[in-house]
Amino acid sequence: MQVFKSKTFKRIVSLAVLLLMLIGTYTIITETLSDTTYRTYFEKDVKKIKDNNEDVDIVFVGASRMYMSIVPSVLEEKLGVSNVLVGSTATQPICGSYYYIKELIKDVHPKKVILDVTWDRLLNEKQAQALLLVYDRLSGVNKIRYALNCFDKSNRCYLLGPCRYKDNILVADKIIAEKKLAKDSWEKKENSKGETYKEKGFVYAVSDVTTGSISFDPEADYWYSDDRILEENKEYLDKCVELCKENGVEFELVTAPCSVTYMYFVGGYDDADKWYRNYAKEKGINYINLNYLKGREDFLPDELMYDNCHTNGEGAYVTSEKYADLLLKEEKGEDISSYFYENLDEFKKDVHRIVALEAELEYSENANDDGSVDATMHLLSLKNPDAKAFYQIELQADGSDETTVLSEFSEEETVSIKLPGYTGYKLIVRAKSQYEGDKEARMVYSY
Amino acid sequence: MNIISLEFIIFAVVFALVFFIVPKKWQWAVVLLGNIAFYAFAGIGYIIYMIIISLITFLAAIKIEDIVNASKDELSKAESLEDKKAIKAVVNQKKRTICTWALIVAMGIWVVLKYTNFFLDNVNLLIEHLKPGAMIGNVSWALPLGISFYTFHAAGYLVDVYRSKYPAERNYFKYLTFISYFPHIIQGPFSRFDELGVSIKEEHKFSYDRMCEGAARMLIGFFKKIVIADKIGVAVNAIFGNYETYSGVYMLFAMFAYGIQLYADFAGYMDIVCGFSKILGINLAENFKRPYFAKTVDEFWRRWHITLGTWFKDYVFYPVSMGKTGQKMGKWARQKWGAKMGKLLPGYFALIFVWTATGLWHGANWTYLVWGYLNLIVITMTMQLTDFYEKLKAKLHIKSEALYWKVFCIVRTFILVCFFRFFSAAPDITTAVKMLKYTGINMQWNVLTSPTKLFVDVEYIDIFFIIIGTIIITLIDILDEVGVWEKIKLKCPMIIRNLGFTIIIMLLIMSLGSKSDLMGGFMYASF
Amino acid sequence: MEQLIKIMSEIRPDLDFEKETKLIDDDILDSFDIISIVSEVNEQFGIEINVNDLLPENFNSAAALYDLITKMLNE
Repeated sequence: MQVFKSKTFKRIVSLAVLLLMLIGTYTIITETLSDTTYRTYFEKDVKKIKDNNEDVDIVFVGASRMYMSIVPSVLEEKLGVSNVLVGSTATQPICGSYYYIKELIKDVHPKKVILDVTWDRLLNEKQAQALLLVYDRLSGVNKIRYALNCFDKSNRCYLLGPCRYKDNILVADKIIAEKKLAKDSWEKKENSKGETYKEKGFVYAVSDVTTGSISFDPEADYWYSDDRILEENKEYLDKCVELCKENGVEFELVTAPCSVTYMYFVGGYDDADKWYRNYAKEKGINYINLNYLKGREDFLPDELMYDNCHTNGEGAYVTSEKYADLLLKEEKGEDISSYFYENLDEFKKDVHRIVALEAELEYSENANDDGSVDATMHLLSLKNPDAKAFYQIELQADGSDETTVLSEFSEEETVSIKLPGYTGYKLIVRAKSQYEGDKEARMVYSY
Repeated sequence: MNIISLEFIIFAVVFALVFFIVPKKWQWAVVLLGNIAFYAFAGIGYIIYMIIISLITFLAAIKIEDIVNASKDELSKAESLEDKKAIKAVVNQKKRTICTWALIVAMGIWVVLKYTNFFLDNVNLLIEHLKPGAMIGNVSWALPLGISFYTFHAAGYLVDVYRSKYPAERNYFKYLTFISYFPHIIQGPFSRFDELGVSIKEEHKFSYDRMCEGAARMLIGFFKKIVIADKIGVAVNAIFGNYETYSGVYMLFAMFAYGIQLYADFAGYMDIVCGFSKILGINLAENFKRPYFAKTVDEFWRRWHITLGTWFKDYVFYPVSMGKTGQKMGKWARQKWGAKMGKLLPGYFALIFVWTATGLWHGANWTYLVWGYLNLIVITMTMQLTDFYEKLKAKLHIKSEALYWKVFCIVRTFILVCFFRFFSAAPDITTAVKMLKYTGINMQWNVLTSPTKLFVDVEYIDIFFIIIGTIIITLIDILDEVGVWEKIKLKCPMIIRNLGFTIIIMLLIMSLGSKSDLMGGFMYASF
Repeated sequence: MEQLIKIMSEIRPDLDFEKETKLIDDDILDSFDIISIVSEVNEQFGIEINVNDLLPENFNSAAALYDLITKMLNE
């Protein structure tokens, strides 16, 4: 009995209680407030495969472009393989990809790993949320090594659950409801953005592009050049190549489709492609840029895009069919380079339209006597160098099918128009080139 | 090294381990090595200044003591009272010379490093008037880490030995350990050799209870800094940095928020260093005693940055007020205005020196002087008008013991102290005046309908942390002020105590990092 | 000793100097009190208490201060 009264015993008990309370609250907070991501569903699919002792043939690693553009079932059928997995997180720094590939090799022993690359893959600094999404998918020593090597001082605190999820306190009820939904109906999940998890990592998205051409942000400063590549990122790419070689896993690079708007808008897009082609040649690996596939302009129109960076669900099926064909030919040893454009200029020759259009409206504070409002529209378009853009601005009141022309087709980029005094109308901006037969670009703005 | 970092925690843990493992007689040496290691993070080159200043004061103190000891021999041989007095006079003269010169050089180094640019800027202002275009360029000397603190520690030590308060330290390295003691070198508290110096040289046995106390205190310190100070500082900076947009109510809010930030930051820092020192068994002086509970500005300065106040009291206030000038002044005032003024005037005179020094010590800028003098004016006025206030209170039937009166005094002091800080916070007088102006115009009262807007640039969730954190600390301080906190800590059941720690630790973890690093769950940026 | 108590009580009528023993340690006397007491004592006893003598052991109680005064008178 004396033991229980001793100071040391009391201290040990006190310490144990403290630790229990800390671990308990830490776990409760983390578990309750953690976001539900596609990982939950993906892991269930992987578990099914492992339980059945099935082979995994190809794993795609990268960002959301992967899981929105690659349909596993299409590839499995065309290539005659058992399992194609799209193990991507939303947004992924290259160091994260390296450790994730390590994890996948350890976990599901894929025969081939395909990594997605884009013009800014190697330019970007690591970002906390992106690092954490990969962190969740790792385990054991790999997880620890990843935490030590990829997280900077400023990012490390987010490894602690309560720190990472503190903002979710404000929306705790939504988080808990989402969790319940994921637990009850894990077959598919549609979120508020209209995305549904289908299978093996593939997410089907309904198009976001509803009002004409895909828009772009004239203010965004997107451009590529070789010297903007971060040394650390390049090193991790090299490591990915090495890692697969060491483990006897085939390794390839792919660029998933982005919109044509994007290809016109991002400065130096072609240089990025050149860099990856050279890199792939140097390392003796395959690289396919699906954007440079001949005929792309026809088989992947804007209607099949989700936004500038992703295909939508239907676009994914189209993409996967074409991609599977290419992979098959590659397997047979065919030289597939003839199926691709040499460079962006060659691609542009097959583009016969005003690609994209942006309009910014500036209107005066005061109304005129008749109730109308004076306004100026600033117009900008993306097009081939030889094309001229002619803009027309039309007005369509809500509920009516009729349109009134406010300003007829002209090359003017700054146009004065009169807006009606009421709200509840749409401004339709059309842009066409001087070539007959070229498609128009069209944007609709609601007021 | 930043105290609020993982590196420091690792450093502290390793240091404490080594400290308790080595034979106790070498513990002070471990401290010295730790101090140097800590300083090395800041730039080992700067240590030269610390060595020079500490050497000067060390040698001067020994010399003074040697002179005194040598004179004892002479005194015992002396026969008449006149001879004794003569010997004493010579000794005092020698002591004074050494002490004065050592102080001039030691503190001079600090003054030159810190105030040269201030001096040059003001000289340039004069030159501008006389010969426009001519200008002396500024120097770009960096201020060595901790110099404003260790210079004062060294000076205080020398004066104490001069006053025969305690014997001089004969081991330079032990003395250097005191001077370079890393917990107190960056922000204080100001320490005295007969307290800290002695404590460092003693042998320290590990005590589990003391470790828990120290660790708990460090935890509270991190809590104050991370959960409250850093977060509310965002709003303060945003508002003070843009007072034209955030005028009126915003500025008032920022004024009080700055008061909270400063307290949480500074007192939190003290908690960390005092708590860590406590783990080692070395006691550092308290620097804060629930300052915002002060009922007068005078009392405030006995509760805020306490050790700065006592340093200036012992080494500026008393020497000036009790020196020859002070005594003469007292006599003269007593003759002119009576006994009361006779006592107050030397004190006021000394206070001018104290507040000039206090102001300038905080920064080489006129704003700090103005800030210092604002404090001085209110303090002296309050003292001067004591009788008048007593009469007024009697007339209005206000009882000094009444709670409402105490609360009124506390609130009044808080407002005054926060108000003065417009000057210490502004980069120059013009800006300070502008900030004051924009506090009074364009009030924007409507923002009070959605008060969270006052926390400009602060993440929404962080507002909750700030408020919860402030409430917790205020509750603890209230309980401490009325004297029950210590009892509660002792009698608290283990479960409740651990629950309290758990809550503090969880809030602390959640307060790390900021939302802007964590974008939404599903990101479609192309990387 | 009575003279001393009288001096101190004039400066701080609210305190009982016969009983108090922690005037410095408990922050009961403030710095203005001290310089007043010192200047008054110096004047009335003809001694020269200065800064060097401002130690808690000399001022914590009226008795302690009296000892100091006595010592200085005998030097």
